[in-house]
Amino acid sequence: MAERTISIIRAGFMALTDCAPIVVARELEFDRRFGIHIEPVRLPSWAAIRDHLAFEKLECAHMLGGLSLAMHLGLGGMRTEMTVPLMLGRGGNAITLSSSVYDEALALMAGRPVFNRAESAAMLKPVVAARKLKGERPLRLAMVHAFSSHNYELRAWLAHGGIDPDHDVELSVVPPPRMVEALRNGLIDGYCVGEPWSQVAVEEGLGRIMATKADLYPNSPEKVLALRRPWAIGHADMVSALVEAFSAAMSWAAQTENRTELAYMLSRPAYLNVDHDVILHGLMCAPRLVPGDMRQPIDDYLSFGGTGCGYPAPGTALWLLAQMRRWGQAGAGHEAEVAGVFDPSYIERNVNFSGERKFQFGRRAKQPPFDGVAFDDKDIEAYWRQFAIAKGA
Amino acid sequence: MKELSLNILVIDEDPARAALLEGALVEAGYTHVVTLQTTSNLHQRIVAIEPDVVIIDLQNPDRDTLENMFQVTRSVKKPIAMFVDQSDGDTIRRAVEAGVSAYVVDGLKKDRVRPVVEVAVTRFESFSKLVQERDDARNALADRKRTDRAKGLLMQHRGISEEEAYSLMRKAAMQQSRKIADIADSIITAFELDSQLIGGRKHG
Repeated sequence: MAERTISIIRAGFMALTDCAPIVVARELEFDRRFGIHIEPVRLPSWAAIRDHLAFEKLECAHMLGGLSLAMHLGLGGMRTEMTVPLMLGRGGNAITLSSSVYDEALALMAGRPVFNRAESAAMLKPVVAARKLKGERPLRLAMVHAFSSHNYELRAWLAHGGIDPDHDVELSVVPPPRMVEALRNGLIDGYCVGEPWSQVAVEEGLGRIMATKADLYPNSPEKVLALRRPWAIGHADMVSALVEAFSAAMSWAAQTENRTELAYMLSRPAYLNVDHDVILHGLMCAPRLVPGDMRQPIDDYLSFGGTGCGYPAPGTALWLLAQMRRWGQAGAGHEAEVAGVFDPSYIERNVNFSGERKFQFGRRAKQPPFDGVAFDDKDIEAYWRQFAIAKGA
Repeated sequence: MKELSLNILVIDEDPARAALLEGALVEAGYTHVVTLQTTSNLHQRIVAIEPDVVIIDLQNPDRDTLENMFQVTRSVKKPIAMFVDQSDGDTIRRAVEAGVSAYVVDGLKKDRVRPVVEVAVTRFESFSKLVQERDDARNALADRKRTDRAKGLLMQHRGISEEEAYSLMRKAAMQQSRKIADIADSIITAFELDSQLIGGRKHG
């Protein structure tokens, strides 16, 4: 019998729960079903993933949506034309504050906390003011990358609470697997990170979750499947196979009955190297928000399924560009260029694709976002200029 | 000799490689070279050193932190960017292959930077060759152990001599064009599965 040639596709990923589509596609051999062999490659920084992808040491990567657009625009690295044929899931991020800073805030609020998580940055405002008055160092908060959704979520949450992220606090970048250690050592007072790193800190009793992505921008983009455009064009069959394999993996990961198995799979040293039980909290959409408290169900805390979950709607890319504009990371006039990076044509050819799985981000939002400013993908300039706190020009 | 007055910062978690690189840079005439092994207090150190060029291991987990410091917060006096001159694609490609990333202060001419990057790339390449040779030596030893184990299993279960066991394995390796150590692996796995199955039956 002639041996079938199987194409090896190297897939870069970061140690995060939402790398599940890559791990599942490989471990459950969804890749073989579509004639490819996925080789997961764990890397320690987003910069390393970006450079490995740009210089052809990877064929595809689990990547921050904003970073794929930054690569395409040549921001912060070599300009590399990109294609995103699939979104790899939703949610997973949370904003954690150290227990001591929370106590500081609570004392300044006369013991009355803000229970609404989307509004909870208001608790930090008196801390910021008191520290300024006393000449103490500002709060130090971390996120995972300049072009991460975590950066945009943390900034939006702070700004909504009346705190200017560029002037009232010190923002820095810490890679996800090092976040908990930085909090433990007092190098930072809080952070926005993806699972399982929020739960790890709560389980260690180091901090409490103040808000989750689901409380802020529940349907906004998270990780994407990032490809070099020239490679994608030259390997259309492989892109289709990748989209099929990862879509199948995501459907599997979205099944309630598979969560425990998924948690065990991800917990292995080669992937997250974190206790499976802690990973499971996130997968079950029931994180523990406060050390010692009961876990709390939060809809869409982290998901791999649901309407349009994998669909890379061009409007979604524009939402990211709007955040980049708001915070002064990109110039004006890149709408058409950026919208073209998110390319749904591959998933639309997918065997299981049906029209109802299409997801038009930004146009059919049922309720206004937490900050009250409705997103309009037809005019992103008008959108971000409505915010009182912004850095763009 | 103006080029050689560049302030160069080398950040590498591997002390041996850092020493190798620092030595080479000094030998090439660069006198202002500072090496950091840990990245704690990175911010203060960079403000104090004011580097013109930063050479850092591509796999260093602190690169995202560093890039943010350089590009976004502008907390260092002179903005620093990744060395991504599009016209110098080959240099960058070689750097990535070798595991080197370079950041360069804004406005510094490509011609002044390239020799520094070249030195780094060469040293990283020779260092990984050394590591490769060491690993190969270790693997050879591990291969030998596995081969011996497979031989032992065959001798014990098939009642054959060591020479016969080895010649069986060599023949299989030749026919399947695989390494003897890989054949040894298959034999070990097969015997392990066998004993698990038999063990399972006993308990079941």
